[in-house]
Amino acid sequence: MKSKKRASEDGISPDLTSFSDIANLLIIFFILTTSLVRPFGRRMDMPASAKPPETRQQDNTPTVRVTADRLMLSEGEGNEREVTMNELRADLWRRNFPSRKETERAVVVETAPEVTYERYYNVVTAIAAAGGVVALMTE
Amino acid sequence: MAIRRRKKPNLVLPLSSMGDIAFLLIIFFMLASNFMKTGNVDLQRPGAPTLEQQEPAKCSVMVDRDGVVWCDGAQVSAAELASIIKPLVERDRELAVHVSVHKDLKRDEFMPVVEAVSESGAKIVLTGEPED
Repeated sequence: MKSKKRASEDGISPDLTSFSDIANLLIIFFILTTSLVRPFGRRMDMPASAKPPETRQQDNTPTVRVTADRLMLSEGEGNEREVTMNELRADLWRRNFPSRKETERAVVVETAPEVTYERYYNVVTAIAAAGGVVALMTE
Repeated sequence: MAIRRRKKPNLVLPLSSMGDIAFLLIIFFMLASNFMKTGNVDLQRPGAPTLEQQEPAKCSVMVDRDGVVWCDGAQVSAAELASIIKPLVERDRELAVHVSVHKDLKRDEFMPVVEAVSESGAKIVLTGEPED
């Protein structure tokens, strides 16, 4: 008790200048390295093939065939038609997927080998935006 | 006549409270920081008009312009991906894997990656650049 009193009387206090300098340097480091940017993207409903068979393709499941320069939309057999990207989006919205059961929301995407990821991305994000479930066509 | 010089006041800034605030800020940034593990990956994301802002990635898979696959900053093969992500999905059923692919890659380069992430059972977020 006695010694404490003496210390305060002597005016001894630790030098905090360098301490706060280090703290400020650390703050600057964290401000510069922190990533506050949230990425843009589209959450996909893309069932794994391990899921039950009822989620798999039915006969009238809409199918989008993507090639390097064409988009072909079909539903069932023998009614394939060429569509533009905007027509595909409009067609998908008309189907009103969110009001359907999950098993009726599947859209099959067949992709040709020459198709770039950008083209594929535009198709699958359009399906996801309309509430559809992307079914991958695997060979 | 001798002029007595005025005694300068001994100014001492109280720095202890400033240090406290600084450390509180450091703790905040340490907890809120999400360091980019994939800043060195060279890729250009595709653009699409119907994108939404997503939560920061807990697990990120990238395919760069050379077709090299990266999972959380480590180079992996597409065949290994499902086995890497499956244990993460078992721990967190709602895990969303952010998949970023260079926009000019062809089907055989990006499809095995998309299929592997899909096989792992994780939710997939395909990242891109928003278009107007």
